[in-house]
Amino acid sequence: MKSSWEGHYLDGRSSVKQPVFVQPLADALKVWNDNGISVQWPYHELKQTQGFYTGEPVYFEREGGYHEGLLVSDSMFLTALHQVAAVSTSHLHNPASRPSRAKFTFLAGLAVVGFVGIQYFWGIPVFGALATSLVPITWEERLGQEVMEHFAPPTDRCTDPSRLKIITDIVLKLTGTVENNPYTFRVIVLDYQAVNAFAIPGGNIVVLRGLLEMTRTPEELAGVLAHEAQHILNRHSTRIMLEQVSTGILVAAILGDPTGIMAIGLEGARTLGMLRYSRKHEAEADTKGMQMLVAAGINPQEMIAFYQLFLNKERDSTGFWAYLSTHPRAQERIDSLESLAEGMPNKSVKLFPYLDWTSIRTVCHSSARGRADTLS
Amino acid sequence: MCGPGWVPFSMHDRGPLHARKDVPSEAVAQLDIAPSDQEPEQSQGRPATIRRFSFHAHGRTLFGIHIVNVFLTLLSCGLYYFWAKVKTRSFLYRNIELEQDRFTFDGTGKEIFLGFMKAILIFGLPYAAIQLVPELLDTDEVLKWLASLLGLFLILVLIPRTVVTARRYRMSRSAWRGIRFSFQGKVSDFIYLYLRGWGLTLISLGAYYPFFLVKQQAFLISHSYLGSHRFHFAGRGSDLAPSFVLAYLLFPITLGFSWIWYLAKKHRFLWGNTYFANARFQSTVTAWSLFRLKAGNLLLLLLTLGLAWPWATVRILRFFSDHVSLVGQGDLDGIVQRLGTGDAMGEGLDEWLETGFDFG
Repeated sequence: MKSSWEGHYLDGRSSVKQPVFVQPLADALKVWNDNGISVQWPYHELKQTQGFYTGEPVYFEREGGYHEGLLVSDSMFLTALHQVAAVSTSHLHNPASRPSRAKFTFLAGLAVVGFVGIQYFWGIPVFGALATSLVPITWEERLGQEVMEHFAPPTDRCTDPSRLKIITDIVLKLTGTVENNPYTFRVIVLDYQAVNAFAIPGGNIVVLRGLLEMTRTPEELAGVLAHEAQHILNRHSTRIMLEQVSTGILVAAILGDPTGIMAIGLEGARTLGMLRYSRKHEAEADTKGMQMLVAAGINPQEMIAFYQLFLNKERDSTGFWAYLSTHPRAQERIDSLESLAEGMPNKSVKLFPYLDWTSIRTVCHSSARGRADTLS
Repeated sequence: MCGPGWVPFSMHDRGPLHARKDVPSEAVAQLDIAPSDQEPEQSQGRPATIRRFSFHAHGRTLFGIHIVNVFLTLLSCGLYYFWAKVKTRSFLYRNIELEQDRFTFDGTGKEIFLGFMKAILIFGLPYAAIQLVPELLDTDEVLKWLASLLGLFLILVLIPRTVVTARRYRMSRSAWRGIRFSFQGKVSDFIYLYLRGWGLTLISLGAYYPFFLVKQQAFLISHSYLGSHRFHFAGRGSDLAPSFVLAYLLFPITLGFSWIWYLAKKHRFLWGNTYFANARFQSTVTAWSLFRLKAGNLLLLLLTLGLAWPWATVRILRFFSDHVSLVGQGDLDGIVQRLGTGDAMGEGLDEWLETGFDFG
């Protein structure tokens, strides 16, 4: 084992590097040069600033005054240091601790993964539920109004009052089954071709003409309205916003630097994470929607029949794409609904047996933006 | 070897404890070399000395540091974040090497934490108050508009202030061969430069921007010191402006690639016009190599959802050290220590605003 090492001395006053020799003693480092001048640096005056990882040269800084420095490239020097003077050098890095540092890092990694998993699968949903209950309904209604102005501009709404009333009656029949319903439900029909419907926080359900005209019976529409009403009643939009913020915080905490170079990865991670929550909410809206139908005395099979129409339209996607979608795959939804329907009572009534649904669902064609029409 | 020859140790092991301000001022004055003396010697057919930077760290080591940082940050409910930042930064600094010596960063988490707290108090709260109070009191539109304007002005003043104070702090905690960096520029000067620059840029519909950029760099670089040696910047806005305009005009046709070309040109321009100790920096960055760096990092981060950022960071620093070097006969042994203090507040606010200015 070597007893002395080559190194360089920096006097902290200029950038000149002076070659020296170093030898670890019991309480201090002995440093000397070619001219025979030698000094001792007590270990307690030393601070280590380099040499913590393989390949890094060792650099000691002497505290006080001019911050003199000592540079030794050979890390075996550190090992020898700890062998010669184990106690007084305990504040200096010991290469022998590197394997346990690696082990600690690995365990810390496991702990982080565990923590993230717990938060993602349990913590954030629970927080979402708790925090949502603290948000006043009036906030949702206010938000809903603003959203309505943007997404359902009055000029695009179909306004046939008598037909709209019938559609709204369906919703009221459904929501009548709910105790303590704090919302005022309304249905808005938009004159767009797309086949879609969505719930807006605060009680508004927007149905697009394309979807409306696809429904063959009022019970099929009831299935869709029940699903959307459940989104509102379970305050999914508020939940999603809270979950989004918490997921964002979690991702930022893991990635460490929430800005700049990382913003891209962060957005991607957050979006992917959110998809799972979206699917959970959709599944909940399906299940509770069907239960609502049954409570209102409507045949749940009609809801399933309507979803079957969607199945035929949807691209047959499996696995990866299913993960990427915000909705569970149509077939999955139908399967869950069917098994749910099996357990439900069989009696049901027909809504509006004396009305021609094909006439009612043309609420957009007959309205011509405000011109009232009577039912034929 | 050149230099003052053998300088004896402080033979009395401790000696009288001098305050850090104790540097002979004559030594400092002599070494503040004027720009005209800065041309690198390339006469008599002697090839100029080229000193390259090297970067030694591996992504996996940084990743390990990062994991432990995240673990401790979570455990401390976020408090460890500031110490984590210091750990990462000092790791990166001490893996950058020039002339066989590595850089050091010896700031502390506590300093950055305190800076952050100060920033919240002095900037964050007033700004939030200005923005929120009119909303909460539901005052009329004019007042709200005025509040926004005031908020904007506050930001326009605080950004340059932060840039200067963050730089001052960061440099005061950085060293090479035991000699500290320092930044001597004044906040008020930079605020003025900044406001004037934005004003002119707006009036000129953006045409002034390259000039503004060059003026900023000139200020930041020419007030930077390593010990007693000053950095100098000799570039002019008029040298950069044509490339800027060209890149801007060709942006749609080249699908953005003209911008990468401009960034590479800017990199070469800014480094190539920076002088230190009778030597000049040089950048060999090309549009294509810069594109590979950025595209590679983007892909890396997207595919790993940001988890691979230690590798992305290492790639950036390796890119820097591969392409930037110091050319010339400059005497790196003759630098003398200079004293000054740095305040951490700018650091904390820079955290917040992430203006990202950094030397190197």
